[in-house]
Amino acid sequence: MPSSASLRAFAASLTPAVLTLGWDGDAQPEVEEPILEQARALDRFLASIEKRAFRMARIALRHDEDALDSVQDAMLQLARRYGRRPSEEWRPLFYRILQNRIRDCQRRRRVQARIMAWLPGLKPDEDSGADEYAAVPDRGPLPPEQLAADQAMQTLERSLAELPGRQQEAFMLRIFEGLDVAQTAAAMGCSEGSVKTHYSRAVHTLREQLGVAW
Amino acid sequence: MSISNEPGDNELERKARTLFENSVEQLDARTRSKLTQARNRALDEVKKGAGQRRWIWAPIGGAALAAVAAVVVVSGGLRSGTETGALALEDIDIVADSENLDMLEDVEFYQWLDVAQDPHSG
Repeated sequence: MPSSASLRAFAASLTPAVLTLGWDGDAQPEVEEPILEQARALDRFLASIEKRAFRMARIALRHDEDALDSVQDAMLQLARRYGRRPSEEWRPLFYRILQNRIRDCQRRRRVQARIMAWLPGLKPDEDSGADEYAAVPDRGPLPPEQLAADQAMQTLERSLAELPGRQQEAFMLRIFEGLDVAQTAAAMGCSEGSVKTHYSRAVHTLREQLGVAW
Repeated sequence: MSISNEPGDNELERKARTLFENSVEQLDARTRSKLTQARNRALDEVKKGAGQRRWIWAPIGGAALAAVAAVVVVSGGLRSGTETGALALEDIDIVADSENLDMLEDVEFYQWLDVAQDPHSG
């Protein structure tokens, strides 16, 4: 049998390990507070970009539900994979994930369209679920300035939708999200020179399409 | 901000940015609500992930503690077992020797002697 002294020494050596592993009954693990602080910082970050991110995804995909799904996926991926990275890296990382999701969705649609072309009896899967907000009355008549702004935005969206994907990304990240060239390059996964080229071509095309009114 | 140097580009950028910000402000309640739900799900993921990361170490820590306990018990058990066996044989010899029965008359002396020879024995 081990002596009582050796058992006491063994128990004493166990105590710090048990506390570190969070097995100490009521004691709160030490990691809780940093994790909560990280969650709060991520909450502030996501709240600051979510609406713009949705609008950009909506412009690229021209579909509300697909845009919401893409933004949600990007949020989840950022939280899972990059939540512990420094917060200043989050913005380009988030937009890189979002752009990938948008491209995935566009690719999926192209495949679906090809399948539908082969199988004319089938129709694309439409969201048939009841919309709980469908009964909510639309906003009232818009003031003339707001109406003009909405129409101008629709015109811009149509022109943006016709741009090649990379030009569209470069323009939206630079103008709508306000990323600088380096951040845009990180978000797009390309060189800064490519960003400048895509952006310049996007502006040139938009000026031609939108005409002198712009 | 401007990269392209063509005249009118700054105006296009400014107008596009203003229209976009305006459209963001006009987002409907349903979309805002769905975005908030999506954000909360992402934050739950952070908290859940932290819990999982912490408990990943639990089996490793448990195995390490078990190994340490086994080493302590085995080494302590071997040492004390040897000592106990030797002492028991001596005791039997002493008790079996009838010539030493008179030592029972002075048990307290022999207890003191045992302690004095091995002060760490307790």
